[in-house]
Amino acid sequence: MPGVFHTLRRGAVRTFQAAVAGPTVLFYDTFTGANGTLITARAPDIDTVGGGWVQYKNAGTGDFSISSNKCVLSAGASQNYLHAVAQTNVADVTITGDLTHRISGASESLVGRCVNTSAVSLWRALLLGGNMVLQEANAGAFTQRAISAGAQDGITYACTLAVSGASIQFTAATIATLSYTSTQHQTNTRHGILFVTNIGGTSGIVDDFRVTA
Amino acid sequence: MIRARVMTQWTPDPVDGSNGFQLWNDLQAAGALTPGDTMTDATNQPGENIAPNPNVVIVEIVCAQPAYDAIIASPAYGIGAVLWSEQL
Repeated sequence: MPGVFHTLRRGAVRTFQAAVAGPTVLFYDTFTGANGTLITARAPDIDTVGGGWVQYKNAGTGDFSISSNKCVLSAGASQNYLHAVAQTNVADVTITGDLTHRISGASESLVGRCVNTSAVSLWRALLLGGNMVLQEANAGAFTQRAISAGAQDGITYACTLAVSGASIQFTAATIATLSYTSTQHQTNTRHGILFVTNIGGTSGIVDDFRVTA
Repeated sequence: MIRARVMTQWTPDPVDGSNGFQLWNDLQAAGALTPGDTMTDATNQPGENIAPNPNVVIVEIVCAQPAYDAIIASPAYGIGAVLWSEQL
């Protein structure tokens, strides 16, 4: 109970419990905007470093854009495989976002500790083919480190990727928590999202993306 | 729930091509997984060294009885692939 005085009868001791500081929000985006707006073309709700989203196309021609005040990746004539990250200058963070899963032809993920904006070297917490997966990526080569069953098509999961020191933890609410220990990418301070949409696939969705420390 | 350490191999994930666990793919194909079953790399093998020769990885699985029964019954795994197990 923060900041509450307890005043008792005469002779009793009065105590005060100091307010507990909450986490600092480093970056926050509710993806509020007109449909079709690129997420890189507008300012997020909170961006303590500045610079907003930086998008990188690993394959395809699509872009992260806003649809119904959420972020999606457009489907294209080829596989669209993109990530977008924001600089926070902090490596030990908690990354949260609401991910809507598409089992067929798509995957959606939160990413943490991206080595830079143009190389896929990072930690990835994704929903893929009905599973939740924690992956390590090194120069575009992805390795599963932990996996759990139970993600359902079309369902929105409150997801958290918490990176602190060598602890890497991915939680998808109502499914499971995956934990792994590694010093890989430990000092990198860019965090964001990574989506894949295959030909004919329907994009996953991310909303309320937040990085706190 | 059961926790066990099991020997398996790295294999490309059928959906995204990432290095994944052969045992997970086999259990999923067999319909033996229960929501909440988890599997974790217990080797901490550097990603740059996957897949080596011989290709072996030890995973820790926390699962409901059907997945464990499928491992024991599988000719590809069986009790010989299970390093240890415990009832949680």
